[in-house]
Amino acid sequence: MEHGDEERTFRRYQRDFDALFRAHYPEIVRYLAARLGSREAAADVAGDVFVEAFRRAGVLRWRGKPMLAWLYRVASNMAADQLRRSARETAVADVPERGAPDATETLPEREAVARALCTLPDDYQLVVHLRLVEDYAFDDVARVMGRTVGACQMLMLRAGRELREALEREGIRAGA
Amino acid sequence: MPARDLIRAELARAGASPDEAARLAALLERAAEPARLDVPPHEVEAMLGRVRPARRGFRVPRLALGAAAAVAALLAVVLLVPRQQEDVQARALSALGGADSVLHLQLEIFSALPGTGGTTRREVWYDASRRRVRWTNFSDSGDPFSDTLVEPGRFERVLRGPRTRIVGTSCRAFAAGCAELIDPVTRYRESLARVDTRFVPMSFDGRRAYRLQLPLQGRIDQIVIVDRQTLLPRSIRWRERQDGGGVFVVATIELTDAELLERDDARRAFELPRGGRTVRVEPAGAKATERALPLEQARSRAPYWLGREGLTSFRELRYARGNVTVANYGTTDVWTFRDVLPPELLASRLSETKTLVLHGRPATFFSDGIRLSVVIEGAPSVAITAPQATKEDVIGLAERLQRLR
Repeated sequence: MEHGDEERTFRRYQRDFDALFRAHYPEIVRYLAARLGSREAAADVAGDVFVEAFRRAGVLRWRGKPMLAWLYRVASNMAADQLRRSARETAVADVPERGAPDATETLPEREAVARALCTLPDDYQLVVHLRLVEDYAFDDVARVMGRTVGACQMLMLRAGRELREALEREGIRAGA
Repeated sequence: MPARDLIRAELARAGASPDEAARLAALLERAAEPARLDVPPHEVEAMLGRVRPARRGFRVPRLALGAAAAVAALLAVVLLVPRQQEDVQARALSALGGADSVLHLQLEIFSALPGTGGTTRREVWYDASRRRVRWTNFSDSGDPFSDTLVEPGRFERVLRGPRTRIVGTSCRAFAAGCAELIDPVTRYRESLARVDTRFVPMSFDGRRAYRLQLPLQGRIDQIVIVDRQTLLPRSIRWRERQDGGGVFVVATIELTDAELLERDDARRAFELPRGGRTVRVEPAGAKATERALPLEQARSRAPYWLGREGLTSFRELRYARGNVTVANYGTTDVWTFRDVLPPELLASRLSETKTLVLHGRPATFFSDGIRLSVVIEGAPSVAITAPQATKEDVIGLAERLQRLR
């Protein structure tokens, strides 16, 4: 998207909350579901993200980044808060809600992969989400993350390596 | 779903071998799979109905609001009190935080000093009532590489790469100097509290704003754009007046986000990462003597150098509180120091300069208008000073640094 188009979209979202919500609510839910391990909690927190957006979108300044970048940052912060609260409040962890198991791997292994992804730094999780879940091209990933394409690709490589190491620490031979 | 081949190629472009790229692409695909959830349109519309209030009112930003009572009080002030300049100034000061709040900021700092161009990304927690500031610097790839905590009588910096904690009693004990270390918002607040200024209404980026001109020091002033609604700064420009009457913009600080946090919510913001070794530093004091060091004597001190080519001499500088070794290459000097900071390396200007990561350690560039200096903190720290150099020249030199053993 051209810079001028992006700015126009940013301004439009400032005026039209409904359009902002319809365009980006689903992906914020998906992002939060991965972070929180719960589809239901993700929907609740995504609602809070957009309440915040309703309050603040009008005063954000255009700085060359799409409104989506701000939404992901708020979502990331709220997910971190939610996880901190859960760690304090939950003695017995809920079983994460995940999709149907793949025939080629065991459920514990799938859970281990998902759990390992959640332990990665926020930026690593975000780059994996944007590129592999939302299928954004790296140009768009870079715009959302406010970095260069090369830096984002490097982040994804590091994410993969850390994920592999985290799994290997659990005795799971990953990436084979 | 992106083709696995494409992901593999992208990982290879980032530096993975073909085999590793293929394995990691497969692993990342598996990790991402559970998040590919369907969010049906009826759920989107239902949630939109819950999130969107039935009747849209005036949008009050969450910035600067701690509680509903504070919102009411602030609006009452905005609506009822005549907009006298002093009142606006007082409210702008209070918007920066009070006894029960901490200001959390995201900054992008654009340096305009020749040879030090680039952006420094910084996250800041600012506790006005306790006079403490903590900030974290981020590399271009977004990784935090140093954390600094300044409070009365104490200055502490944690270098994440080498896991080193440097502790001093003031910024003058730190090689990058107070110029790099003083936070621009602190300087803005100090000026705002000290000087009566005019709040000139203007439009900034499509929003109503005020423009303020405040002194900083000497020939440098600051132009601050303040949001008219939140009274928080959005942009700060440091300008230096030239002899010919012109104005040179030294640095631009963009505040990309700002919010006031309850003190309880921010209590961990002032805890720096733990672990690693601790180095205590102080200013070196006055220079007492200077002497040439033969190579073998220099070797016993294991200083940094650039190799034999072009080496003019090694010198030992003795200061009141400790010694520093300097390798001299004509007009270029390589300084090695551990727990005392030679005064020659104190940045002499107020300007913020560029901080990068070199050798896994923070490297701060600054200029005195004649020489460009880079200081790479650690234990020991090393600095290179070179006249008429660019950042790229100095980075090239820094990559040649080695210890003489």
